[in-house]
Amino acid sequence: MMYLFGFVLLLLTGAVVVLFAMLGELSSRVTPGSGGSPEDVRPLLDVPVGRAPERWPGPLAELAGAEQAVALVLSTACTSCAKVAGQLRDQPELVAGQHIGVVISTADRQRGDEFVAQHGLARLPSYVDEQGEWVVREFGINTSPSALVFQRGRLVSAFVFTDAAALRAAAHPAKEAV
Amino acid sequence: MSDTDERPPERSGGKTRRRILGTIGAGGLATAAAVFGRSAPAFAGNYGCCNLAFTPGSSRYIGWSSCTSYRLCPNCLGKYIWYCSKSPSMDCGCCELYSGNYNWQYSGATCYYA
Repeated sequence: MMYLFGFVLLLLTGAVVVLFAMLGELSSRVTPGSGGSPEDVRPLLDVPVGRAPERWPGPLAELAGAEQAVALVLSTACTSCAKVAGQLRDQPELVAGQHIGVVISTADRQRGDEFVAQHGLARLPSYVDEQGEWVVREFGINTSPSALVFQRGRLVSAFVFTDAAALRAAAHPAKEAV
Repeated sequence: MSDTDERPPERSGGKTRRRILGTIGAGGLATAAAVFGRSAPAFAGNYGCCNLAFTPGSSRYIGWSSCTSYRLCPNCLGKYIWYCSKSPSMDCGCCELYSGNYNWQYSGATCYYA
């Protein structure tokens, strides 16, 4: 009787272990950030709204003349930036039909170039910004992942975000006239 | 019940059964460890959302205050300080000090509620 009880107990324990394992596998297979949530996007308040940069880096020049464009600011020191870069690479629909460029803030150009290559960002207009010099000087931005929304070359809004899909949903309504 | 009742002597197969059950139990534990021991891909970084060259525990991790003030590396050529968003409610500051050829020398970081 005791052995039967022990066997049944062991069987139940195994079933519980397998159940949790299945739940864990299911959870790990769900694409992270699929859809995102509004909480994943926060507005940046202390930004020079209405400012047009004195100089657009060459790779980002096409953003200057676009009716609406977004510059994503990532950093090589930021792992949440690596996540966003992975989303841009794996979900091209997030950037389809958009004027989107990527600014990679980094301590040195080599690390920036490696980041671009590692995450497949070369297919987007991308600029390696050593020391974040351009974004800091022009907009006072030293946080990533962040997004700068431009209309006809002027900054209209800026956000900090942790999910690219959530950012896309939040950035589209930004149509304030400058 | 008689006071002289005694437990029947343990049969020789008892030890074998215990060994078998113990082996099964150990195997179950090992299976659980193998299943739950795998960590899901994470983007937490090695300090909050910072991808530091040196992590807490390393002698070259000097903390945020020391890193940003250069105190422990007067001969460093420069520093790279950047902030990252770990979650909707938490940001982190990441600091790296480097010498020539951008060789990282020291790291520091801090996280705070946004």
